[in-house]
Amino acid sequence: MSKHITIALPKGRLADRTIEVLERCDIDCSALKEDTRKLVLTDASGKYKFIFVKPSDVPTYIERGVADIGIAGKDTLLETSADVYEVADLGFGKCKMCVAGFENRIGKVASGNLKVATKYENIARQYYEAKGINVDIIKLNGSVELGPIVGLSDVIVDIVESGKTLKANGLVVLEEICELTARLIVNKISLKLKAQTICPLIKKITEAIVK
Amino acid sequence: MIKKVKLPYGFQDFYPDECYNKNILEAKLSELYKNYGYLRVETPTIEYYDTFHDVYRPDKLKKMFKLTDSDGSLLALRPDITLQICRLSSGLEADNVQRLFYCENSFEYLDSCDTARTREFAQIGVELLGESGLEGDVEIVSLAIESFLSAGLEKFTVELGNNRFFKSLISESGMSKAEANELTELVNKKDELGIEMFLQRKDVPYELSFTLRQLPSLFGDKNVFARAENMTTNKEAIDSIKYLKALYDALKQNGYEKYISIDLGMLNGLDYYSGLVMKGYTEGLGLCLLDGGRYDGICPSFGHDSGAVGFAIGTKRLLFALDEAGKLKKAPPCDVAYISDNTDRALEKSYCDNLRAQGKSVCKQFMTAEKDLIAYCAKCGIQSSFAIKNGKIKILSGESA
Repeated sequence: MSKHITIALPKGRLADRTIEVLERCDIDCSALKEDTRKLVLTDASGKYKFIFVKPSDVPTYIERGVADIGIAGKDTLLETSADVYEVADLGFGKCKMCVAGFENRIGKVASGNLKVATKYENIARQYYEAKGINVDIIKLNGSVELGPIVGLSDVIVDIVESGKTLKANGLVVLEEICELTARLIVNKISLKLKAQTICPLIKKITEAIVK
Repeated sequence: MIKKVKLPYGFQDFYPDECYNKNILEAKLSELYKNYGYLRVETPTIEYYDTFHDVYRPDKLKKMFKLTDSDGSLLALRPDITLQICRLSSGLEADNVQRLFYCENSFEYLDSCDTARTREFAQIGVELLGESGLEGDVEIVSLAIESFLSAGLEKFTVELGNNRFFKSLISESGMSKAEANELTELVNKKDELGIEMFLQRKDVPYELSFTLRQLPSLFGDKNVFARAENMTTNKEAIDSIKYLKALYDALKQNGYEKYISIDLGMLNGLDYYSGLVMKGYTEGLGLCLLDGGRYDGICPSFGHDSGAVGFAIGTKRLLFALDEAGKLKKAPPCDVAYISDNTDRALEKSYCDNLRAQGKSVCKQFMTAEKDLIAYCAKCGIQSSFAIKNGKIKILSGESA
């Protein structure tokens, strides 16, 4: 483990806000804003190394210690249950994990053998287990909203940000499972062995998001 | 065609170069433990499931490989050696202190390959049974540090915690077991926000809730002791800090201060470990190398009242760390290679035996031409070679006996 800090950044939804927060912590992010296909970038001071990864992979990079700190949605953390420190709620990327489906079929939602299409297999399983409902979970990797429309599933479990996609497809939120935000996560060993750099950085980031 | 080279996920081969280093590592640590008066034990791969049933939490029981015996009894591949040692030590002289070590593989049933863990893992570990006081803990933590030093690791940290600190705060709060488990999980993630929200829901008194909220940041050097002592009036909690401080001071006198750090928010196996908990880390590997602590409550469940403390090192992880630190070597080639026309086997045997008695590795090659042997030795870096032809030894390179 070298002395620089490796930061795993999620591509997509959370990327812009993440960079904004890092900049407020006086981290030079100019390299990140350039249109580049590079997956590994370094800031001008050489103190930070950035890696761009698929959002759902962030906890994996952190758990295995190839990156020291990362930004991951709470949805990903709940789904992967990675063994990492979850040190701060960044507040942005707010959305909800919901059960959604057709409004007029609400009556059927609580019946047994409900078919649930989702990207979040573990979250859905745990949710229905806690409710004591047996369900068939259908794992999809995208366009989950299609499930009820084409009759693949009765409902979906997915994150809902604005609700526009649901609305456009005639679906509504039936149940809210939990609220989600972006979290700052840290490798369990990096926090200890690089405490002198990481702890002040965490403090800075926490202060930056309050501003 | 069926691919016969496929392994079930989570199982691995050790190839010659790796195995060579693994053997060296095990030999170094075995020597160290022997020098501290520890004796090696071997335990069976399969045990009755019931042996583990009363001690493990349900989630750990789920992660055991299970088989059925011919009489229908449920069997398990050992998930951990420590419990087996508690079981076997009940057959040893109960009054005496037992110092035992092992190099064995344990098994964990993982239902997903998406993890940094493997389903079979080699461990090297020590257990000190029959001593419940500070001195037992001092010996075991010292031995953990000496293990890394013997292995050749230079930069490492052994982190110490005390489960009694958190347990005494929990019993003060009057939380239910389920609530305590929920809080434990949050503390282990150092999720300050989660802890705050949890405590708000639970109506915990202000002073106690203040202390619990500090748990995620109660790590670092010896200053942690003073910080922790100032934030609680719980007598048992203060005692547990004083105990850890006494342990720290003893280790400092042994010259180990630079390897030690403290984390009072490290809640490792609360049902299992009764006091000291420890973990070992190194730069260059984002995973924990060593895991251990004091488990005074386990031996009584096997019918003998014996305090116990120990640790296990993940052999493969330590090899990774040593590799990262540039401390592993490729398995060397043999010292001497030879060819023979196979006419004088008595000469071949006596000549090779003599070389081997000098500690040299001697390896027969199956080519016939001398120039081929010379080329082979040059390629592999073999220092010496000879040929046996018509009852005579001919040295081709280097020197032989």
